[in-house]
Amino acid sequence: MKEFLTFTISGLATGGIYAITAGGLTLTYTTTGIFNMAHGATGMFAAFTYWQLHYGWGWPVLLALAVVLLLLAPLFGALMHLVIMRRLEGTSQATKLMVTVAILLSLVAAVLWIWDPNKNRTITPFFQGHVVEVLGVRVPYSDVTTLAVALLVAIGLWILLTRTRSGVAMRATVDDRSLAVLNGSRPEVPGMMAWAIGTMLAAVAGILVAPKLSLSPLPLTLLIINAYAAAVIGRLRSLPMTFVGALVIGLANDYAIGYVPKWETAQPYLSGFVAVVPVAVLFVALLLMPQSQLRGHAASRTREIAKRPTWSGSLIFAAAVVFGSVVAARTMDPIDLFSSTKMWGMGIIALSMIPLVGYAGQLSLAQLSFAGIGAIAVAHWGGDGSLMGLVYAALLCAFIGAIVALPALRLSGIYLALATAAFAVALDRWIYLLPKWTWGDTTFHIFKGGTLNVERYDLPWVSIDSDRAYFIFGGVAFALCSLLVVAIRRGEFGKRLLALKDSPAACATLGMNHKLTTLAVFATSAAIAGVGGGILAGATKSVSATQFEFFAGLSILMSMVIAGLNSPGGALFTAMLLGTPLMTNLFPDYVQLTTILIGLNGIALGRNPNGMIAAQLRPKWDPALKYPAVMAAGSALVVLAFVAREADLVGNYAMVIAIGVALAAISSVARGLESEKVGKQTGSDVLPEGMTAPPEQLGLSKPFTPADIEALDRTLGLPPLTAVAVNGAGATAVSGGRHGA
Amino acid sequence: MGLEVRDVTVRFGGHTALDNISLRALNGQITGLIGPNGAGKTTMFNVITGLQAPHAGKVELDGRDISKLAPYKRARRGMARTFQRLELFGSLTVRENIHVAAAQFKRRHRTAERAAPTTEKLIERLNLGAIAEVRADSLPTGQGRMVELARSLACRPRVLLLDEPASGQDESETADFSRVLREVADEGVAVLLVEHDMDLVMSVCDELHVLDFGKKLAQGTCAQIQADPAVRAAYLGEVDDDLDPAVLADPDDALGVSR
Repeated sequence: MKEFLTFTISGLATGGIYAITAGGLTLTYTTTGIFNMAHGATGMFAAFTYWQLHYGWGWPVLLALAVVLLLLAPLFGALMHLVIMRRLEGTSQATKLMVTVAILLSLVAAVLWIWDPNKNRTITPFFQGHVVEVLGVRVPYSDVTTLAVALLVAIGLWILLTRTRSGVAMRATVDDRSLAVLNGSRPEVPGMMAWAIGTMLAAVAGILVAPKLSLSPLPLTLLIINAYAAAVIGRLRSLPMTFVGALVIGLANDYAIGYVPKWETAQPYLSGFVAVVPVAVLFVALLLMPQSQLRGHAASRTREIAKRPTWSGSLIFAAAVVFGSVVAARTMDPIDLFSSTKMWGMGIIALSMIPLVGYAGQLSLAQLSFAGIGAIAVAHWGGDGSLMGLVYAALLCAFIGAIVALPALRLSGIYLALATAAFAVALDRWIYLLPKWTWGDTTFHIFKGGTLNVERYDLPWVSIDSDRAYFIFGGVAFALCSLLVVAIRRGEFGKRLLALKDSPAACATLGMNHKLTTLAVFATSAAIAGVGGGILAGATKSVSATQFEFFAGLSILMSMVIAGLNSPGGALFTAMLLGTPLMTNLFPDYVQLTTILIGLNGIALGRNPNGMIAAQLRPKWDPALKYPAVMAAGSALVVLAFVAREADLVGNYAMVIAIGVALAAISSVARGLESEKVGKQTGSDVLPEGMTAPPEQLGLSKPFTPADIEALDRTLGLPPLTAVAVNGAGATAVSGGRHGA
Repeated sequence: MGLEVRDVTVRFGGHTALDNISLRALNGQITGLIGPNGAGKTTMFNVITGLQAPHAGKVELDGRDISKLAPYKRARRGMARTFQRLELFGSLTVRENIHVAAAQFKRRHRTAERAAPTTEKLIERLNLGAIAEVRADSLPTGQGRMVELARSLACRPRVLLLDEPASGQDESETADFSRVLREVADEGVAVLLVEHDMDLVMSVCDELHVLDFGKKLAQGTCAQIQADPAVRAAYLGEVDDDLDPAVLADPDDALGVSR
């Protein structure tokens, strides 16, 4: 009984921390409509700052707390609103979510950069050593403090939202922003307040929980997943329900920690499960959510536009990828080549996001986890490098993908993102770590307690055992997958996916079974990710669970969002950025640079939600498709450079420079031809006699001469200016006063 | 045969959006559903198509109860609709919008005709050729409504629900629209029309139902409805019978306006 009480009290304290976190999360969501994935990371950052002030620089506890909680945290929140969040108006739910993921990545990278992760840091609990006796159980003061703070936060938030003017204004803003504005409310103020208070609550939770966990970035950041469960129980609206949910999750968590180890037979299998209790609660809560009503997007024109890829462009892209992989494989030095072989696996995983996230608009945070499952399938069932391993990987992933999609059929948007996050975290913390077990005659041992070895594949007519050959094989596989993705987009399935993203309600009234369609796209993209995982595994020859962690998956998704979720080019960019030692070679001293760059670019997403490729690259190279001669000449130059390198006529640098010049030339020549053509079209119109240039160019790119004025007057049938000056009162009329010159 | 709605009630919290409403739309006829804003017309459409579950009542299609069916299954039984606030597939072109619907029908039914010819025929029939390659989200509302009509016709419906199809259309578009509407009805489709353009309603509808604040106010032919005092008070507008007929003939005089 005493033991039970002990776990109950510590469980309540844990629940109190979840409650504070979930409260802040719900506050920002209900007032600004943005679900803040970076909430936990903010708290983590605050905990590190507190450590620096109090332990690092020796400031007194109260001063350090006051500076962090009352000054820095609200300031950070308000800045976040001003600089980032308020620019997200009119973007899709997915973009909003991804921006907060970008903030999460940046914060984690920043903390790893500022505070050396190899040094051990601890925050001792408040009032350490002081205990109070409750029913014979010794309860540390820190737990009592936590509970008291949670209670204060609960009451405070409730009063704020229901009893104060600013609270009501906050709720009005999210219900109908434009109506609130018309009624004289300034939506900036409540939004900023919400972010300031939300960030403060995250900081409180971060500092309270830090003594319970070790002071390292990831566990504190991912604590948020536990709080999500509570927020979902409150349906992201009801604060009382959120707090009850948080306490239930806290209790379940601590009972599991307390009692599971005593259950000897199941202990090895469930010890990991203890870590996913909140995640399991989240999953169940999502399954019990009432089905969201089918909605349309009623004429809301998002700023996000995806162009339909052409076959010619896609085939050129695929050919360029294969050619590029040959060039790279023949020129890179062996060490770089080996560490780059995994880029193609990464690229295919990135491609798998295009149909699901790009076309269908379903936000999945678990694509890298599917890749992990694919790698496991290849390692266990692929035998000695049989290509059947990839087939098994695709089938298994499609099957599991369909199962994970089941909650997705009923949910959408952030709830779906949360369900996939829960799935990924459950794999990381529990399934991948399972010990060997036997079921009937079959023995399962997923990661064999560490790493799995994978053979490179046997192709029927060529060996790809060497790094060089495997790299080219990867390039070919990536090119094929990119064509598959394009085929999906151009086919009927792709149209259905876009239709479903644009208006689920209209799809239903046309007789489309949206559940089946969602299931199909989930399974398809999981299968592609599985193949990617298999090819990745073959590249590194051995895989471990940490390669497929939830957190690493966020970077891939983020990079795809930045580059453009609809373009295979984005996947290539992601592969080069995350799958090669490019960045570490260029900037060896800045390990976190890649993540920070991804994060910062992601934060700027609000300005350019279509991604870099669509906004920057495509306009430059699209015109080339219309001029096959330019294309052929440019390609010939590229091939020539490569041949010259192969014949040892030029060195690596010369070749790379030549290829770069040729590619740039294709773009600029084609664009030159294009603008000339446009110029000719306007030029073909018959100009009024005597005019020096088309009227729309006069005064802008061409000077506006008196001859033009006369010609215009003649054409419009106006009397000449001189006549007006003589006859009319306007004797002072300046020549050119007409026609705006 | 056609669409039959029996005793449907819908409540949103304490507000009763539809109170025990029954109506019927027969094959080959155009049935009008009119009433002021907030009368429950769109809610009725949502109940019929399954997007909104009613608290009570039944929806029958050709004599079979479809109340328990999901929206897409109702659509497969021959129900199609347009939306008051456009629900086009904005990232697809006009042609693709229609094609998605035609392909959907093709998948269900073993018709000889493939989806593409159906699409082309509809583009021609509704004069959409000039905008066939335009992205749907860049269309003005009037054209958008024509695309929604084409899309719903691609499903070869037996019951067609049109939610304010003429709003946002100019006169020539409305004229096109009423011509197509009549043709569709003559092919045996039951058309249910929600519309505020009374000229259009009175010129095409065979029967009218009038809703007001979720209650059924009247039902009858256009002439009966126009004569109904309750409808005139609630919606069509009052014409005061006590006025001197001479004044009515020359309303400017009545207002004391000199010409």
